[in-house]
Amino acid sequence: MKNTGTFKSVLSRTPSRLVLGLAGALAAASGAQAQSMNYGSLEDLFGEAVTTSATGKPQRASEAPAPMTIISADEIAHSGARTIPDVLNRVAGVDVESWGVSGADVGVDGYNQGNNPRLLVLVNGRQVYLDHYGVTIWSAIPVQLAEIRQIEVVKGPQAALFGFNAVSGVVNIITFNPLYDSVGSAQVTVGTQGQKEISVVKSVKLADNLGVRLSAGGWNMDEYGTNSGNSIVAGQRSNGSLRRTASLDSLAQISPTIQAGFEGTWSRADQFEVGAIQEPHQGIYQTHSFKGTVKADTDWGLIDATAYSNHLDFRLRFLNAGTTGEVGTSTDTTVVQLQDLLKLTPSLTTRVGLEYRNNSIDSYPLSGSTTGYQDFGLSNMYDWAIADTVSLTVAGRWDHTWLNHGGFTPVPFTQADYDNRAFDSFSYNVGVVWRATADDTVTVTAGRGIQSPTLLELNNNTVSQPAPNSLIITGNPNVNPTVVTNYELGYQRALAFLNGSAKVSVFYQKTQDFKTISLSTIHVVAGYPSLFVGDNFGESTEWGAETELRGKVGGVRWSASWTWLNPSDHFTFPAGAAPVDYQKSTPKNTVKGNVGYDFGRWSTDLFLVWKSDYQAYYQTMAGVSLLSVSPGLTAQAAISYKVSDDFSLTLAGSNLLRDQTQLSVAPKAERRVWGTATYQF
Amino acid sequence: MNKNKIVLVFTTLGLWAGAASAAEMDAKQVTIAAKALGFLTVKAPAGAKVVVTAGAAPVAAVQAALPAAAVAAGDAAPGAYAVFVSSAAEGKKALAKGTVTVGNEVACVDAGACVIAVETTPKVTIYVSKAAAAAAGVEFDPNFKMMVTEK
Repeated sequence: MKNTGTFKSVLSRTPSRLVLGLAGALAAASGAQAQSMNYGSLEDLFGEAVTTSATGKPQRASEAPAPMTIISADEIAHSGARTIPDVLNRVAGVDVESWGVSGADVGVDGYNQGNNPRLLVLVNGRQVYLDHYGVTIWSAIPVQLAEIRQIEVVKGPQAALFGFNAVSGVVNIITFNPLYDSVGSAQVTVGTQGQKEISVVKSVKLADNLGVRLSAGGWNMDEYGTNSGNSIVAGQRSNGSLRRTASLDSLAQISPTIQAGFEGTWSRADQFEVGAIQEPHQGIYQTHSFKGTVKADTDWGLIDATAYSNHLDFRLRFLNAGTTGEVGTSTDTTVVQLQDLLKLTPSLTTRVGLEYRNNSIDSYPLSGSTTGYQDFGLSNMYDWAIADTVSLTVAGRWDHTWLNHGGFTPVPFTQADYDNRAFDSFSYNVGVVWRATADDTVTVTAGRGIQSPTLLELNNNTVSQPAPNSLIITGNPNVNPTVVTNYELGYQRALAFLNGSAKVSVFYQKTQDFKTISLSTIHVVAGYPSLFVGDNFGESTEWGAETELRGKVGGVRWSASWTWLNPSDHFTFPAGAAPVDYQKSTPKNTVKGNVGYDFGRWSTDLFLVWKSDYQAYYQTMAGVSLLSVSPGLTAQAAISYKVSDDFSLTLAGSNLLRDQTQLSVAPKAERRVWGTATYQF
Repeated sequence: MNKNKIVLVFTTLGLWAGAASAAEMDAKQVTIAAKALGFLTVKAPAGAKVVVTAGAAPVAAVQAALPAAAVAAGDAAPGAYAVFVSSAAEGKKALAKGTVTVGNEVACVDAGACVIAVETTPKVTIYVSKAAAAAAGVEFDPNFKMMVTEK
């Protein structure tokens, strides 16, 4: 990857390129005003990763008033990881439940489950979690690993900045900028279990003031358990794991102070996965999106206007009484955001944001009704450098949400139940960063986040009058949003002798108005026995602690972390009435270790993770079972050889320690090995 | 030591400190300052003239950090793209000529005589004088401005 337009990359190139680059850099300085943040140049200037994910303001990672980990493009490349969850699995406090070879749920600070709806995942600010259940289908994210500049993982609620779903954390995927960065990569991968992958990324400068980045890729491979004879998997893996994605991202310098961008994406993902009631199914997802942005540097601050539209078609294939069933429908999400970032004084920065959101889902299996909600959000952040060593950030957001329903009367509810249902919610983030010495930083944060009811939790599928007394399975217009509050104390010390750092943190988290599906809680509404897809069932609290050490000495880079999580559920449904028990399903202890050694043209990487035993629910042909899972120690490794400056070969593998590894309640994962050829152009 | 003597000692130290000239920028400071200049929005032609006054920075280090520029030792002169200065007085003279000034100490930025000054220990910190930038007629990248210490 090359960064153009500033001094950054040219300083690391050959002398002849250096001179030419600097001449260009000096000449181009006027054109590249960077209303969009130039991550590469700012990182090069300050000598550390930079981010906007903590406050919306550009900041160094070390000064961010939030627990945060930033994974660089180099770390992704070294890891040999083939999916984003594989990359995230290396972060302390992040738990990955692998259901299949690509189906996975990612939890931050616990509470992981099938179709985990607590995480906000963004690509360059556009949400890529899917609104039907607030779930992220990672292989449907239309991004190739080779086009990712960095992945920012922010832990704890960040709703005051990002809005709904940012309750357990935020994963913000930042790609290379089509105007500033030059990137070209073609990869071909072949592996065991029928693995075949291809990935192409290329940025093109169409003019000095217009850049485009194109990417496409896909894979086919067998799911986990292909050879196990598992009847559930056998019935749901007919297509194996399939992925196809394509995206176009562009950015133009319209004037010295205005930039405009357009992004279009498409993706298709078929995968074996575990759903919200811990049921196995094959998910088939097809998405497309359009996004437009305008950024302007004005006397009133840095103004950013963004509008995007996400469309999802999904089908879930499941087994019912030994036969295959299928449900599926479509959702649409439109988001319009306007923000102004303004430095009021040299030490005080504010951000004001407005957001409008319109979400809807079509009824199924018969179309004819639509359920949705609209939301208006207003947010404000203040970042105050109280002294050279102390900063305070305060952010708040107010949301007004109102439901809508079109089509047939939503029996057992009435049209008025939807028309009159509205709620207000408030979220906040407060953070104090105290740089006690040049090496020691103490961070105290508190946050309150809102987990909005999802479309499936609100949806009503009625398109004709149900027979009297028939059981109705329906969304619930009266379900309340879940509220997550988190308090965290963190300490970080730079360790010069290790060229690294040590981190320690402890947190307390409370989840109120917890939402789930209880299959044995029947409500009677207008005379109809009704099972709600969305219902509130009390609260859960959690204590957690985390330590992490990392460093780089010579060619050896390494990290080690330990995470302890201790949730305590206080749910109001009868024991076993819902497939949820976080006290049992959360691994209490997780230890991760990573070591890599780079020498000459070779690069090596070994990642080990050990999780303590846990128990989780799983729907089988016989009903719901609480299964024990003992993942123990698992390993991933990669070794790369750089044949030339432009061409490299990588051999990588996962679940290397055993032939079959029980990673989750889903079928066991086989040992897998794959080879990748990468050509950079 | 009585109170008067304490005052005398501090006054003497203060005079001594005020009289002392700041050290020359080292190569790392020069490199960071050169990178910071890349965030200016003003157009700088290839071969732009950069002047280094005595005691501001090693000329060779500036030339190494800005190889596309024409770097020379001397005093601020009209037409220069940037001047590395060793005092606020030099900075004010250069600013009067509409030149971007890079100071070898933060005090120059505090005095509004230097557009930028950098510290590299314990970590990279960049200081920008809004008044000096306005006097030089230059603007910085808006994201860059959010991450520096403005005076």
